[in-house]
Amino acid sequence: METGGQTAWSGEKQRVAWVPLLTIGAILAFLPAIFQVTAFADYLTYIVVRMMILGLYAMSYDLLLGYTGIFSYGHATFIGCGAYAVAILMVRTGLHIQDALPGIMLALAVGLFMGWIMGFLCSRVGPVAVFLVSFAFTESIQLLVMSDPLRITNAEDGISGIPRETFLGFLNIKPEVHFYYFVLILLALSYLALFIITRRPIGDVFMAIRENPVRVRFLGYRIRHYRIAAFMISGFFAALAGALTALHEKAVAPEMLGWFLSGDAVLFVVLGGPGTLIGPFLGASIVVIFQEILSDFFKNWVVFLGISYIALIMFLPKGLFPLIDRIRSRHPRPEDAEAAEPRRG
Amino acid sequence: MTFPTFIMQVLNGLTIAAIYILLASGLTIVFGLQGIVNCAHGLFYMLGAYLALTLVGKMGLTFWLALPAAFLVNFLLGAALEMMGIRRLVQWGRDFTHNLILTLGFALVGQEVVKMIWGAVAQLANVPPSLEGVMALGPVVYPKYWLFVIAFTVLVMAGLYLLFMRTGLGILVRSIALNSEVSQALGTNAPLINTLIFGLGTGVAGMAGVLAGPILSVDPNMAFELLIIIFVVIIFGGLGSLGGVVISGIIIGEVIAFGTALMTGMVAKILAFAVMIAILIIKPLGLFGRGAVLE
Repeated sequence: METGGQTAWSGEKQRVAWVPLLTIGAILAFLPAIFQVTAFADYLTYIVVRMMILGLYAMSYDLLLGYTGIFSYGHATFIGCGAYAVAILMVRTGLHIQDALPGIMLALAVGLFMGWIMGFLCSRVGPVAVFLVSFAFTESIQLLVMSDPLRITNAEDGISGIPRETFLGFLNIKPEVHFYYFVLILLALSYLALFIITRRPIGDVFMAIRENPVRVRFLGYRIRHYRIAAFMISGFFAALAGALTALHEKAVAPEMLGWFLSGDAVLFVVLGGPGTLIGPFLGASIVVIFQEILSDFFKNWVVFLGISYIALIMFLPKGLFPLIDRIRSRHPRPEDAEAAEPRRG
Repeated sequence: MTFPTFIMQVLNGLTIAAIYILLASGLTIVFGLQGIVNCAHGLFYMLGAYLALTLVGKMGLTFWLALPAAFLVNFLLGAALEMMGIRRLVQWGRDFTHNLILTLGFALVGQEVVKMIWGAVAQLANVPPSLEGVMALGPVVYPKYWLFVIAFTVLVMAGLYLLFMRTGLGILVRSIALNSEVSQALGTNAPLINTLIFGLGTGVAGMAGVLAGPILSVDPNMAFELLIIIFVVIIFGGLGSLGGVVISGIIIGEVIAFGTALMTGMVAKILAFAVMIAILIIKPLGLFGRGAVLE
C-alpha cells in the first residue's frame, strides 16, 4: 500500500536557513568559554557534547524519515553498533589501540554494513511493515549483544574503560574541552555532508520517493536501491554519533541498542521538524535539556515523553523549526495554507 | 528428547501460540481495515492482566467475571482511543506514521501510569480454582488451565471467523477492507465499524492479558516485550491476514517453546527473529500476505 503524495511531512525544498544555522554555530563555538566562568564547567560541557552527538544522530535519522519518508524504528541499531565497534576494537581485542581513528573508521564501516542489511530487509516490504521489521530487527541485534555468543560484547554488563587519548596520533582529545571542539568540527562536517546530499540529485530522488514512490518508479528509478542507499548514508552518520558516544561516555551498554533510543530519534525529528536537518538538531537539544531537568524531579518522566508524542502529532505535526522559520519570515507560505485545510480521508 | 517431553513442548508451544494469536488477530484486523498498526495494543493486553490481578486477587471476583470485565473495559478504552485520536488523524489526511507515533505515545503514557498504580515489581496471577490441577492426555499430564487457554483461543478465533464470514456486519467489514471509499459511497458507516472493530481487537487483547496472567509474569514491561514478538507473528503471517496469524502464531510459538527448552529463552527469541528475516528474504509478503501490503 502506498501513501501517495498525501504526506504531511513538510513537502517543500526549503531555503537555506542561514540565520539559525550561523546562530547555532556561533553559540556552540563560544559556549565552552562561557562555561569556564561558571562553577560546573565540566558538567555543562559534558551535557552540550551529549546534545551535539544526539543532534548528529537526529540529523542522520532526518535523512530517513524527513527526506526519504521511511518510518524506521530501528535507528538505535546504528548508534549502538557504532559505539560497540569502537568499544570492542579498543578494549576487547587486546590490541591496546590508543588512537581514536581506527575505532571511528571501523564504526563507520559497521554503520554502512548495518544500513545495508536493514535497508535490504526494509526495502522489501511496504511502508507500515518497515516499522515492524526495523523494530524487530533492532530487538534481535540487542538480544544478540546481550546473549553474546562470541564472547566479545561482555553480555549485559556492556564494555567500560574505553580510552580517549589522541586522534590521528597528534590531536589530543583527552580534556573535555578538546573533545568538545573535536565533536563540534565533526558535527559541522556531517551537517555539511548531509546538506550537500540533500541538494544533490540523489537527495531529489529521496524526496520524490517520499512524495510518491509509484511515480518515481515510473520514471525509471530503482527505488529499492535508493531506499537502501538512504539507510546506508543514515547508518553511516548514526554510527559516527555512536562512536563519539563511546568516546564521550567511555563505556557502552546494551541499552544503546534498545528501542527506546530508536524512539528518541523519532521524537527529535518530529519535534524539530522533519526534512529540515537543523530542526531535528534543535529537537535533540531541547529533549536533552528537558531530560536533564525532568529526570531529576520526576521519577516517571517517560510520561512527558509519551504526552509530547501525542501533543506533537495532534497539534504540531510539522515540528517546531518550521514554526520558528515562519514567524521570522512573517509571510505565510501557500503550502501552509494548503496544509491547514482538512483533507477528506 | 523423549516422546512425552516432546508432546509436552508441543503443548507448551500451543499455549504460547494461543496468547500470540489472540493479540495478533486484533492488530492484523485493524491493519486490514485502516492500514495502521496500533503500538498501544500491548498496553491493552497489560491492562487486562492487571485488571484481573486486582479484580480476582484483591476484590475476590471470580475469574469468569474478570474475563468479560476485561473485555468490556478494554473495548471501551480502545474505542475511545480510536474515536479521539486515530479517526481524527485519518480524517485530517495524515500520514500513517502519525498514527504509529500517536499510539506509541499512548503506550508510553499507559506503561508509566500502570507503573504508578501497580508498581514495577513482577507479579503472578492465580489459576482459577475450577481449573487447578492436571489432566492426563495419553502419555503426558498437562495443567488443565493451559489446555483451557488453548481451547478458549480456538473458540475466540472460530467466533471471529463466523463474525467476518457469516454475518452482515462481517460483510460490511470485509467491504471496508477491500475499498473503504466505495463501501462508504454505498452507505456503510465506516467510521462506526472501524471503531467497533478496533475496540473488538483491544477487548480480545485484554482477555489475552487475563489468560496470560497465571502463565507469564505480570510486570510493566510485558506490553512491549510481547508486542515485538507479535510484530514478528503478523509480519510472518502476512499483514492483514487472519488465517496467516493463526499459522504463524503456532509456528513462532513452537519455535519459542522448543528454543527455550533446548537452549535459553534469549536464543529462542533470536531464533524467532531469524525465522522472520528468512521469510522476508524468501517471501516478503509473509505466508498469506496479499499484494496490497507491498508497494
